[in-house]
Amino acid sequence: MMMKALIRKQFGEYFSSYYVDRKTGKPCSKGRVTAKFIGFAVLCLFLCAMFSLQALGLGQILDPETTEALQAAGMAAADFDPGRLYFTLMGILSILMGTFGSVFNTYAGMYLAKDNDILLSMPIPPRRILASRLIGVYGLALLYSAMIWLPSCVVYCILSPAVTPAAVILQALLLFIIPFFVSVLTCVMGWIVALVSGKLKNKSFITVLISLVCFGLYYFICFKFGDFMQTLISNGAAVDAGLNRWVRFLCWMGEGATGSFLSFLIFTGITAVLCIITFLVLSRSFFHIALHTAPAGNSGKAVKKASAQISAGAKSPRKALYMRELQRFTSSPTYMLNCGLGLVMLPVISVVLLINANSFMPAITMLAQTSPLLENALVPAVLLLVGFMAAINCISTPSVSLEGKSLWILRSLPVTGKQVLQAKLMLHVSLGALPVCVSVLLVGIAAGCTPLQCVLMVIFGFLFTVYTGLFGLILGVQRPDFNWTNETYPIKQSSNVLLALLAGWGANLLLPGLCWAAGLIMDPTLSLGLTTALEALVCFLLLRIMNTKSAARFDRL
Amino acid sequence: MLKIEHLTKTYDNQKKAVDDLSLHILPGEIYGFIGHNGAGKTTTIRSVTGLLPFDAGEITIDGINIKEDPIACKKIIAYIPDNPDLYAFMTGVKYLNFVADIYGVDAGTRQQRIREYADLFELTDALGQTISAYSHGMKQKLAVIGALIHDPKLIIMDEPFVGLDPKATHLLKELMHKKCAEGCSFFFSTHVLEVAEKLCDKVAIIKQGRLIRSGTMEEVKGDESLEDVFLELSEEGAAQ
Repeated sequence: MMMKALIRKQFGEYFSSYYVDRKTGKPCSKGRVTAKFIGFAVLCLFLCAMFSLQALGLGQILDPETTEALQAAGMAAADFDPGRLYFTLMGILSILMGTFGSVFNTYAGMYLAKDNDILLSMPIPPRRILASRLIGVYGLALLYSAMIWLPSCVVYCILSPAVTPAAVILQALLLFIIPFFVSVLTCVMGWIVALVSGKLKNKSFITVLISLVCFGLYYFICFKFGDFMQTLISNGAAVDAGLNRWVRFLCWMGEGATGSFLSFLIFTGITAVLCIITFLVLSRSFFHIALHTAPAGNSGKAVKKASAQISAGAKSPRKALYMRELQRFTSSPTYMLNCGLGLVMLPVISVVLLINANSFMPAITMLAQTSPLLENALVPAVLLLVGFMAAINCISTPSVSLEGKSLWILRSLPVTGKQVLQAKLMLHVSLGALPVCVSVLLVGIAAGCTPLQCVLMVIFGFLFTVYTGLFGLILGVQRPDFNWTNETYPIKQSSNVLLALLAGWGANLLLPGLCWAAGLIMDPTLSLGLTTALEALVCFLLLRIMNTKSAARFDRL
Repeated sequence: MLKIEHLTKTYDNQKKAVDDLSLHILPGEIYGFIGHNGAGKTTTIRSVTGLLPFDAGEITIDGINIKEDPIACKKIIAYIPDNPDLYAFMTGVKYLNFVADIYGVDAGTRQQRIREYADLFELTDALGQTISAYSHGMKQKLAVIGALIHDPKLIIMDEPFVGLDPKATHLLKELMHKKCAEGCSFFFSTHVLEVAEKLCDKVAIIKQGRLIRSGTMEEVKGDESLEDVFLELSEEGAAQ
């Protein structure tokens, strides 16, 4: 009964945004609920399609001719199983995806949930609270890992000549067992993050740094996937032997997916034991960590720092509002990682492109010469590439909802909605514009654009940042949600963020598209100038809306 | 200092939360506002502070209409809600500096005021901690310091004594008297009738959105205790 109520509460929280209009608190219409679920399904399908390409690349190893060639060359033993290698590697990718995708959700949802206190104050054993939260962790792990595992199974069934009904059944069962293993990893990592964050001073930055290293590794693997495939196909047997030696446990998963019932049982058994151990360890520490993750430490240093800050100089209201936004952003790893990832990714990718320009530019130049339509496509391509990454920065979008229950402070202070919104926009632009402008400049140089084109592209990049900031902010004021219990909701799960992302990508297709189309009938630099002017006009109009309608609406919130 | 004339506020459910309420608060007065849960106290307070739009009536603070110039009004008032949800991501001192920046309090004055009030409420050592680590009472104290930092002419408080320890309650009451002597006015709601009786110059009793009695403490309670009068008035309302 109690557990049922907890699970109902947990899932009610997860799915409330689908069934209830959080602004009015009224149930959504059936049509709206259906539309929300369809939108979500389309997004998942899109990601599955992306990962299918990776599975197809690795699937080359399933070709019997490849195996025969390796065996003929003496590079593979007679018992070399390409199916096992395929599923072991795709399984590892699936586990990585599941783990990195949900570790911070696990941390925020389990240890930082605002209802931890109230639940722990009730006569509910902490184990049950933990179990109800873990069901959510499992659900998220299932979602992320399935996005790779499902396409892998489909590709295997298409490409492999050795598909058996047993293999298909075990693959289907593994779809639900792998997330248990992922949950173990995310719980352990979330637990470590919770423990460490209780002791660290600059924990937000350190958490972000660790996450960025993990993301970097993940993207490095993805980036090098082509080379990796070639190496794998020519050294498949050696890789298989290495995996067998070092991660035998995961090879059992791979073997299980090809139809080996015994391997499947071993993998499932070990996963079950790991789950039980993790649950027991977590349930012992959950009560303590959930109540002590809030930073304390009335240390001498904190007192000294406070004394120093009391004597800090005064700031203008405008700067004070800006600093408040900056403090909020830098205090939350979830906010920084989900809404500011592009700030780091953009310069990194640009530098990589600049360094490797000599290796890909001749091919691009040759490609451009194959058709008159592609002749002037270089500038729009640069804008498209950088814009795609820039649109990921949606710092301004959740900022209104993040005011949450503290909104009364701004409303009772002598500041206007316009001033508040301008501070939020300023944060978005001040953090986002520089990486975008630097990136567009670097990529422009790498692509061999003229100095004038580079200057125009930098202006274009700056205006694009302003556009994404304004659009996200207007959306945030239009559809605010102050009733969250976990900041992950407005930052990650809110439809506003998805809409802002799609609007950013939409504009990113439209504007470079216009630039390219206009370039067919006029000078490419002129078409770039005109597109930039159009973008400036759009920004001006959005700025007007923000300063008038949105500001007035904010004052009434 | 504060003039509320015929204030009426109706929510979406068509229920009148406040109905034709009028109050006048003079400079240097402590005005208590009492009533049952859901009587309309918080609605009135939120309307006065410009947090809630109202349907009819007029509110002026120091002669300035809250609807016409809310920013000018907010510059001379301070508000402390019943449950101060402050910025959990800030430290106490950063929060106070933020509020001081918004009100344009110069560095020297803010330094002196933060030290004075933080020492008074024994919060100085905790100012370096993030607010997320504060207890309810500490947040309440911080909200009080934040409200005093710009030396407002009118302080509006919703249940200010909830969560404060006895010493802090005593200090706040002392501080209210001291500020009143300097010309500052207080308008606050409370359920603690004994405190209201000892502290307030004037009191208003609200029931179901309507003002049922107001005036000086003597006018309202006569020879009885405020608690007796309040209960009598409540029962009269119930009998009607």
